[in-house]
Amino acid sequence: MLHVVSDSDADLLGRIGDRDRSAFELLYQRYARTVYAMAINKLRDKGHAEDATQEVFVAVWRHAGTYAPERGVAARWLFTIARNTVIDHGRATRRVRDASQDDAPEPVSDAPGPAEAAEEGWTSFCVHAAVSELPERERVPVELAYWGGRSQSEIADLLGLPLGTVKTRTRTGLARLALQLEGIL
Amino acid sequence: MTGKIPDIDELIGAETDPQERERLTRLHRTLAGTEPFPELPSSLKRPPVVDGVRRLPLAGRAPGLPRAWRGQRQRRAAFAAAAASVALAGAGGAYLATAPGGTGGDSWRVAMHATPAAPDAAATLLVGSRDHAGNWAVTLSVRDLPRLPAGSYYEMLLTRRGRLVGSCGTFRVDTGTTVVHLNVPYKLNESSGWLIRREVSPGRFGPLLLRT
Repeated sequence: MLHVVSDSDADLLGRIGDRDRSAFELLYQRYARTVYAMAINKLRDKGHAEDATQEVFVAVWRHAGTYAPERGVAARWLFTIARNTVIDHGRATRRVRDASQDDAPEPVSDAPGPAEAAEEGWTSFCVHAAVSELPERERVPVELAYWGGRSQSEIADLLGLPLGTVKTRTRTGLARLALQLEGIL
Repeated sequence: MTGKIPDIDELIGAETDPQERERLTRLHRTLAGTEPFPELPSSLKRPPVVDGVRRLPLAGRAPGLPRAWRGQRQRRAAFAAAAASVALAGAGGAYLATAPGGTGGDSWRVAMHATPAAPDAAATLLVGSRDHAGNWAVTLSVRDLPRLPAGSYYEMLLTRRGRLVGSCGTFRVDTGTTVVHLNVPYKLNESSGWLIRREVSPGRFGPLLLRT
């Protein structure tokens, strides 16, 4: 995600590298939900996902000084830190779990390979980050439509809004998302 | 994913320009194939304490220690408990005292305005002193928000230049006017804004009710 306002992700990482806590909080508010979504989708456990999310942002605080804008966009840097930290957390959890189990053979996985999985993860990361940046009036109906399994009428009932308002907000939100995600879709 | 993919025609209408339709259809497919986007749990509403690169105790790693951020949750509950009946100081006038940014005895008042979702409500914020650690004492006086059923809360959020900065705590209200004492650990300045919304169910929020 490219933020072209004054508090761009790259600006924030630069300030975090200088130990600016307010920049850290801003980046956290911008990406915490996206990182948590990545963690829970990979780890399938809320407690571990919460822990992993904390670990990601501690890692961001520690390593922000190593971010070099010329080597890529800040969101990609954050995504890489998040993915690696979540994977490490999953491995550590499995080691603890496996230590208490018999030596069962590894099941054969039909999951995508590492490169493919990373690219899928990046798309999800960008989509979630873009959705979380939507104004709430647009974000809520979009989320309810795609991840809440609700029809437009059900969303209107749930939010206590006229159906036309829900449709307009959903459409506006989708148009905004399409613009933000240009180059990724 | 819920397994129920929304109907693209219902979302964007049938009379969309073909080029726009193609663009939105690509987005639609991507969204439909994207993993669910869970709400952030309350334990993660605030960033970890990183000053001095110190980590908070994490779940399951320090037996006997509270789960991460439980203290903040308890503080939020304390904010709600601290609500007392005091007459609303008047919903007009934005900055009645000094400009924001001062410390010590400086304070200023901010009026919040009702949205169509709560047309009768009104609120003012009295932003008080900031302690040496960077915590601002903020007193919210709010009137005519509906009382909520057990387990539901209102939440006050801070924004800066229109972007969400973080939650300033949750609270409940009584009939008439309720005063809530909040602690705000974020930087406050002229670009700060405030929002109040309702948690309609755990992790799900209704429309904005009051805003500056």
